Amino acid sequence: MKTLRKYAVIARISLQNAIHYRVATISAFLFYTLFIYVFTMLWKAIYQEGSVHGYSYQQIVWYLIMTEFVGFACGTGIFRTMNEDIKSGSVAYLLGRPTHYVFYQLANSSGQVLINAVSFGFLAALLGLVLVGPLPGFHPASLPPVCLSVVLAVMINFFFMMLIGLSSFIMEENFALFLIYQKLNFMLGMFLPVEFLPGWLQPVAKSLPFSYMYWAPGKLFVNYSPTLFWQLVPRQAAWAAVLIVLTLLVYRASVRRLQVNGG
Amino acid sequence: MKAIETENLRKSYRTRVKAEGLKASFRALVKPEWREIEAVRGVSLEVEQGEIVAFIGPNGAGKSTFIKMLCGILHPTSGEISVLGLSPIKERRRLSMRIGTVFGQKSQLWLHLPAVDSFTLLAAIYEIDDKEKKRRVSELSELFELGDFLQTPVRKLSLGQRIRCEVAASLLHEPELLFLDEPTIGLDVVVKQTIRELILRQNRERGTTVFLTSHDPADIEHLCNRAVVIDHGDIVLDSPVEKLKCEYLGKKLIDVSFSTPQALPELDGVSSKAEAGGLKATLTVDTGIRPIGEVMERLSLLGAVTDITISNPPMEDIIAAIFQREARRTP
Repeated sequence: MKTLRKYAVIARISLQNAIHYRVATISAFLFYTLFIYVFTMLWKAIYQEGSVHGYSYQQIVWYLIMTEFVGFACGTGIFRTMNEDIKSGSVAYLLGRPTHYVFYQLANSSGQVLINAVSFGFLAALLGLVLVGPLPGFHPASLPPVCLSVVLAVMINFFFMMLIGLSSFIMEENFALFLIYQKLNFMLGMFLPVEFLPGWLQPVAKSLPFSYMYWAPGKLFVNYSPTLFWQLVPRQAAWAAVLIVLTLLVYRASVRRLQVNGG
Repeated sequence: MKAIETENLRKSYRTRVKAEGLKASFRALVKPEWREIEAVRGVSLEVEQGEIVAFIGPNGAGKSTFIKMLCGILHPTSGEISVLGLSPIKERRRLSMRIGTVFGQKSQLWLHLPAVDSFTLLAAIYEIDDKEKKRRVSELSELFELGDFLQTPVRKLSLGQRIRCEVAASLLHEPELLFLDEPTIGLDVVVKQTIRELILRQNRERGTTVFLTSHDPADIEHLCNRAVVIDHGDIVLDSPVEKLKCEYLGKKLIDVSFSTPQALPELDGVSSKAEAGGLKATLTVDTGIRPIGEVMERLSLLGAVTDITISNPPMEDIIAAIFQREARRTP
């Protein structure tokens, strides 16, 4: 109980801290709006011909709104935070506390994610309604399962970023790993649904965890059905579990090899 | 039970080396070269509970690495460690409930939030209930005189105020052993003295063991009962501070300026160096031979003194003197 309370307080303090980054949030709002607007115009031009790979124009715009929502609102800067902590040596404080480093960082990020999710949620809904109108066939009852899918997507993303961050315990420069990860996300669901990929690549993409961060919640949102939910969400949960275990194992191995700057 | 016990403790790590130039950069890309660095080389040390120990040495001597191994943050390459009867590696979380740390150049407080929020977070981390937290925060706030700025965002505090909050934060869970890594770095003389008094009170009233690194000889002189000097990862001197005071810390520097050139008097225990044609001088006074007050009096008799400051010799000079003497002692 005390352990849970510990991580809940970390999340609350991180939330309080996140409220102070107003300028960063407003700039992200503007960038998100611009991004959605440009892509909506692009899709409008492409969709002169009707539906593409089973997605209507409205669906593809809402798909993009959802995937970008996951990226903008729920992405965490954990990899950068960890790199800075290692470079500045502040990691010494975190490792010397009666908390688990990985779960401390998870709780610490959740405050930022929560505040972003709520504020970007409103912006995303507003942009969708203004640009293409309501999502066809949308029912409010689909929101809880879609939210669950988003939470799992955030978890997968967090633990991937944590794995990249942990590499800074043993590598001097790990930015290249982040770039590779980011580009894989761009290609495997963030900008385009997996169905848009060449036929031979689709099964490959679906067997990798990257698609379950953007494609799964995006597709589930625009095309919700219980069947689709059972197809996608258990896979997301499985990937999240695999990544948690992998992160804990890598943490255990890398903390032994840690070199803290300034001693 | 000893507060700290280490036996032949070693820590080495690999670092990449690369020769100068573009060609070497390409070579390093294909075939990186590594060099083994021994940061701590077989240190054996015992610290009793309630002691205040200064752990001093030049930059890169291995001080912080040693402290971080004692806290369980870094894993030793070999050797034995026991801190408050626990193994920092196997029982890190249990140990962390009983030790406090201040790394003077790093902050444990949330910059955008008032210090009181960081105290709330730390209280939760150290599993202190609300009632007890309130009691401790009010006690520390009174002791460290934090009342006025406890509600101010940390980024708006002066360095001295922040360090007072940092030390108070590290004491919130009433640790039995406090590791202070350069706690007074960058502070002015008055704030340094306040921090020292607070640490001393903690030691006297609660029996807290203090293990401190510092580059300020005054920290060692005013706070510690024992000094351990480390260089190249190895202990070169372990001595009571009283002895160190007589042998190394008894020297004071006087910088004096005159309005007209002066010839300095020759005194036993005082060496002087005139500059700017006799308008300025630096005197090194061995206070064991000649009291500082007497030298000041003789200087004032010269008249025409426009400025005068007394300071401790830099820690680097003291360490250099220790090394020279220890080298002479070991044939």
